[in-house]
Amino acid sequence: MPDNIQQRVEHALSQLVEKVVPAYPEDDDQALQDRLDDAYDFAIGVVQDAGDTPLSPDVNHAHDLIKKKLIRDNLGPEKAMRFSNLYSRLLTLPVLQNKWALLYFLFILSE
Amino acid sequence: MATQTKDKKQAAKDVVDILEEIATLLNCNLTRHQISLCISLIENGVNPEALANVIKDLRAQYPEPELVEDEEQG
Repeated sequence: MPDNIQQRVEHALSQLVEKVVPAYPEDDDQALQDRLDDAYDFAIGVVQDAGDTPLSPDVNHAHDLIKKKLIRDNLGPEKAMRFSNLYSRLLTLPVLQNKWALLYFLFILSE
Repeated sequence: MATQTKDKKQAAKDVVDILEEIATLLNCNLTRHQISLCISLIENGVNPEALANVIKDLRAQYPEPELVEDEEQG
C-alpha cells in the first residue's frame, strides 16, 4: 500500500478509534490516552493483517444479503423497500469505487 | 470546472446521506462522521470485513459508560 494511502488509512483509523472508544467519568487524560493508544494498536493490527486478504465473494451479494436481513428482521417489507430505493440511488452516483465493499461492511457490522 | 467540483461535492454528500440511512435501517449505530471515516478507509483499500470486526470488537472491549453503570446496578 503506497505511503500516502497508508497515511490516509492511519489518520482516518485513528479518528475512528477516537469516535468509537468512549471516555469514562473516572478517566484522567493519561488513562484515556492509554486506552486510545491500545485501541488504535489493536485496530491497525487487524486492518494490516487483513490487508491482502481477498474480499469475500459475498461482497458482490451485499445487496441481497442486506435485503434478506431487512425482510427477516422486520415485520413488514417497508425497510427492505426503502433499502432498494436507496440502493438504486447509490448506483447512479458517480463517486465511490468500492460500493459493494461499503454495503458489505454495513451488513457485517449489523450482524 | 467549478460546476464539476460542485457536482462532485454534491454526489459525495448524497453518498454519505444514503449510506447513513442504510446504516440506520440496519441498526449499525454509526454517526455520520464515523460513516465518512469508514468510507474513506474502505475507499483506500481497507478490508470491509476486518473494519466491521474492529468496530464490533472495540465496542465490546470498551462499552459506552451508561452501559457500564447499568451492568453495575443490574
